Amino acid sequence: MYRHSEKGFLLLIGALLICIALAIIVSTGMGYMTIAPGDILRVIGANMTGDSSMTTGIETTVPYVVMDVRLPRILTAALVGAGLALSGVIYQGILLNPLADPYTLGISSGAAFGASLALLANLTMLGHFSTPVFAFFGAIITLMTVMRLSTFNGQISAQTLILSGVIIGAILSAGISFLKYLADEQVAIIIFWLMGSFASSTWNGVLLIGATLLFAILVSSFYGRDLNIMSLGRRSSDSLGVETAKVRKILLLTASLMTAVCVAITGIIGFIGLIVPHLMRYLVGPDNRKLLPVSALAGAILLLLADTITRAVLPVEVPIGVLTALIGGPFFCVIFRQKQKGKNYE
Amino acid sequence: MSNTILSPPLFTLMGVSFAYTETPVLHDVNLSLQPGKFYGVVGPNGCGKTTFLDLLTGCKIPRTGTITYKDKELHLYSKRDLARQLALVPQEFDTGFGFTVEEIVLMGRHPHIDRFSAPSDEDWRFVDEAMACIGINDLRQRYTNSLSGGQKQRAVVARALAQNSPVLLFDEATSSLDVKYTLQIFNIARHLVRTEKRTVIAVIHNLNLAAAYCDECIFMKDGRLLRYGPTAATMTSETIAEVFDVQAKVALDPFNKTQQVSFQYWEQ
Repeated sequence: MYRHSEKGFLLLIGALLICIALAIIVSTGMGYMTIAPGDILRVIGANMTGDSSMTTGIETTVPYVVMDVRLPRILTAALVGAGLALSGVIYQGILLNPLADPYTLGISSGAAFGASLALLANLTMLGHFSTPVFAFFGAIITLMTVMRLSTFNGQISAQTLILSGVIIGAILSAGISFLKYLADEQVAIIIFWLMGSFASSTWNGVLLIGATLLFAILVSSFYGRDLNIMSLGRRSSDSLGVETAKVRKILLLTASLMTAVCVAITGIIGFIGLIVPHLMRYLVGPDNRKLLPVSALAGAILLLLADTITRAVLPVEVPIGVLTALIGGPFFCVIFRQKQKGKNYE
Repeated sequence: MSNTILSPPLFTLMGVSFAYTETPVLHDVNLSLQPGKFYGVVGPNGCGKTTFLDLLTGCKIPRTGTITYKDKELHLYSKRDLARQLALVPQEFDTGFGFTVEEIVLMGRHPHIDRFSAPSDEDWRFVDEAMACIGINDLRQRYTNSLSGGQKQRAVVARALAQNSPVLLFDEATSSLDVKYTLQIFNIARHLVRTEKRTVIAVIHNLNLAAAYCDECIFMKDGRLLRYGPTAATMTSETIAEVFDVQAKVALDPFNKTQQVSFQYWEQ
């Protein structure tokens, strides 16, 4: 819907991309061992070109720290932030509810339950992918149950969808508590994983989230204009030529896949999917075709910064899920109060 | 219905019924609607008028029976093709996240714009004409969630006009408008029917508006079609008594030279 110049929007995208590049370089240099930005670029360059002469003169531990310790973690944080923010935009657009995010639908709890089950039973038949696969099935089964519960006469209403999500989420949380109780001595693994952490990030994880994110961005951009019109409600969007039921299903599945992969790899990280779309809506307005890419970029920056703070700035490493909840919780309260007062942002 | 032979029907409903639960909302509706006419759908609250419109737009699918639009069953059309034929002004209108009036009106062009294309000059021309026609140019950059109910309703009517479809469906499209804008929108609709042979199917609560503007009236009660036919023949005190359980007199109004209804307010 651009009759007016898109220059501002393109500038914002450009600025966010530069911010991400800077944040990645700067945070890679931060930590127990401080590394100069030039050295980081040379190490990355050497790895990408395969030309080992580029790293001459750099301490031998530096390439290892950059490539195997810090970069996987930093890229995971950025990709998960982007994925959660993207899911948040999709859920909010479909549920017509500014308070919706992966948690409102119970999807995160479903993924966490599946992953806890895999951790508890020590299922490793699928190697590195055991936890993600179980988390994904947990998320999809939860999504299907929630959608089944809220379907009446072949139609899903946004309100019953949230109610069903909250109910199923509560049941699954109890289920996770029960698993923790059963876990006995292994409980620490589940608890630490549930609080969210990037400490054990690997390049495999980066590839998995990266591929899922690419897929989710393509699908959601494809239906961006439909998503805008769906915010007018089913009756209007149907009569304006949107296959509402089909688009809703596709987008919900995409957002849930994205959420499941994020949860499986890093545990539960709350509020990114809620805060980022809100902040970005102030900047670019409600048009999802702008909101989707901008939120993904901003989510990446925000979670990367949060992870860098807990990893390199704070004296003790606070679990990232706890940090985002501590910052995001109060923010959530502000939004909630504003909504109550009827002061909707525009 | 003497002129029905002249043109093939626009809509044909055969044995159509609809139900949310066991109790039917619409029961065995048989009807054919002709192009180029102004139809009024009249009946008490909750008699199934909105459901009737939902069935015509394909938003709801009948439980039994068939609905044909231009010789093809309605559910065989894609939503996009249907949206180029039918525009709806719904009863309630909501935008969770505030779009501007201009963006809302432009959404009426959605079925005409390819997925990754920007709106063409022609699309913008339709948007500008629709906004000028309704007279909401000054609201162009206002956010819809800062508008009054009446202003929102006029924006949605402009959106339906921008859709430029041969059929317009109004679900109480003037319920929150004052008398000036109510008459404005009814006159726009009448003009489109008279000069461009478009079809308007409007759910109307005000019987005097129905009597003045509609070529044909469809009286509904308890999910059934009670009377259907030319307004002059169906808009009678007997029909009104049967449908609404209200005493009324229908007489020619010399001021407008149309039939008008006056109600008995209390026992004389």
